[in-house]
Amino acid sequence: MNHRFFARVLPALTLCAWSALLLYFYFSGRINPYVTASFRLYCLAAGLLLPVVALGLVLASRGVVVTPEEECEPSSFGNAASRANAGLRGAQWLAFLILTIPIYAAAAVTKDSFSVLTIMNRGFVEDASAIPRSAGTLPARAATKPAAAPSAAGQPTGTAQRPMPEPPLPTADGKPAEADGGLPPTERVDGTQFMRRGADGSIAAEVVDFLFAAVDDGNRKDFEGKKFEVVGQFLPDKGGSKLKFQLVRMFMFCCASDARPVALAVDAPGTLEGISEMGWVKLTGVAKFRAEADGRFTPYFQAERVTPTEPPAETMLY
Amino acid sequence: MPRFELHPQDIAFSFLALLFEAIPFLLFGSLISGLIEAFVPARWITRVLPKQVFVATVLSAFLGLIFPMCECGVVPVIRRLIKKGLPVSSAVTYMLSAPVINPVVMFSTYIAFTGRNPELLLPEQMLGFRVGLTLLIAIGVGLFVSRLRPEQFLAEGVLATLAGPKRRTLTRLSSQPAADAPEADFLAAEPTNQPEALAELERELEPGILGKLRVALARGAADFLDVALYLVIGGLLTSIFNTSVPREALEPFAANPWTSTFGMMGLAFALALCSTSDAFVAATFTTFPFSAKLAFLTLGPMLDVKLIFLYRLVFRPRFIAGLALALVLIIGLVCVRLSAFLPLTIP
Repeated sequence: MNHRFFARVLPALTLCAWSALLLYFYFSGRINPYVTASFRLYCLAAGLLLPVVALGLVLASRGVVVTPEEECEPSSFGNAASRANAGLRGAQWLAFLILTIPIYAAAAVTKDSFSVLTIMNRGFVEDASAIPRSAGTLPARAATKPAAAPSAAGQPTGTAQRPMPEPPLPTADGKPAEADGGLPPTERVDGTQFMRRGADGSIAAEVVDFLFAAVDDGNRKDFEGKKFEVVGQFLPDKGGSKLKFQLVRMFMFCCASDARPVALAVDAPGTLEGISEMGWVKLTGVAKFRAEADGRFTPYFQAERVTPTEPPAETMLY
Repeated sequence: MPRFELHPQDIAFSFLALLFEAIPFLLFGSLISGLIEAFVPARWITRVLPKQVFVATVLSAFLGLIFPMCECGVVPVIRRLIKKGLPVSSAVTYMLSAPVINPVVMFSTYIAFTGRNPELLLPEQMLGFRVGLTLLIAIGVGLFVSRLRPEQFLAEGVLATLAGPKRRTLTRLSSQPAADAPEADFLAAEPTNQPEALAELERELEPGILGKLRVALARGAADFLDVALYLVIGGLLTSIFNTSVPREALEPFAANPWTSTFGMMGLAFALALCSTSDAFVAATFTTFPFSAKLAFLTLGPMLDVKLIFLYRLVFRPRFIAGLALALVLIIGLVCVRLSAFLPLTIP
């Protein structure tokens, strides 16, 4: 092992090892549950750039890589040559191993998802306002803007309700005036009509959509009693009931490290058999909302059919 | 029922996710560091910076608006800038403020707190408090550091590059910090002008555009690997905590302003979240008061498990320990104080 190996080849190999891992995860699609779409592009860029950087390291002249004043600088690889000179090749090997073994071991060990234990440890998101609206498929509702037609592509337009007319002023004798018919009637557009439909005509929704609908009077009315299909992971009832369970999706802000579970309570159509804990299921049924004592509404799903299904392309919502 | 239990598969999943999130920004920061090394003359840095330490420090606190960096990427950049002769007070201020005082993080903070209990907390209030407290602390720490001698807090490796024969000359010739600053004293204590040595070094570092790009790549690679080593170790520790400790275990802390504030700071330290997303995570702790969330959002970008390791590249362990203690105490006490008189501290 000569000086050049420790100064340039070993660091360059490390960079290439990281690049290979990033590119493998990106092109195999394994990266999907780890980071959001924008971060995947950053990973791709990093994966492509790292070999270029490695090449730059190998091609750089010795005087550039290690200047005399840096010879005593403690670092892992930046002064690799100095370490070689100082007889610290063991430390360089150690740095190389620390930088490569944990990430490859992690890639081999992980199942690209969290176990029930971690999901339970993280606590369920119960507040819809904790989740960015972009996470769901439900069109955003702007109560102060006039209704707009759906876009040509059939995508949600973001508006579904006209402004409420102001109440009429009281009459001279103090009695409230009747709401006359002079004002234009409130024109409401059902937001669910802009959502994708399943094969049987039921509305395709995400778990988070029900949370969003629960905090919006208009959306809740649109959802109530309608037939939906929704995909998620099966989590048995904590109380042991065979007729209830939770449908879970993990929601991440940037990466899986900050992901938290979002759950929808489900009334099962009957005793369920053959569905594993955290297995992926597709539910078809009716959306319901339960009024709580504090005035809030809690969504729940009255399932008519529960079938095991393949995981979606995006196992994490974001 | 949540339990404390190590789960290797989950640790691995969280660990890789953290790395995938951080690596691109780390590489980006390292390459900027390399470009600074290759293309920015040391004398330029001090020429554009005001001579007064106070003014330079305050200005440095806002540099993130122009050069936004996350907390991982900023470490190799400031290490390089210090080696280039940037006053360490300015470098430390930039390091502490840039992860928050940048457009991306400010926007995400605003969005994360939009739409929740507006009668108690407006998003602009949370943003204002976060930015204000971060600025105050970053500037305060920077000014404090300006009173110290570099050998009291800079890592030996950084000091060595400042004191080496060529770099020493370049640093002294090009940088003219305020005359009353101890940094100036430290540099002034070095040998006198050596124009020949300076010219020689500049020739060595300016071998044409292609040569400079090679320098930038090589320096960037070296910085990246240095920082990545600490990221791996810090990321692993963070992932163990992140997957093994139940959030429910923190709930009892929420009721009291002291326990909630210091509990959330402990969480920020252990979770080591990116500053671009930490506001969304903080917002989910609905039972915790505003002041505790503010402490979480202020401390996290300045101090966490991985940053402790990354700071080792620039600072002495004793200084890091002192900085950590000071940050925890100052942020904690300010936030507890806020919780006492602001009505919007009601959860």
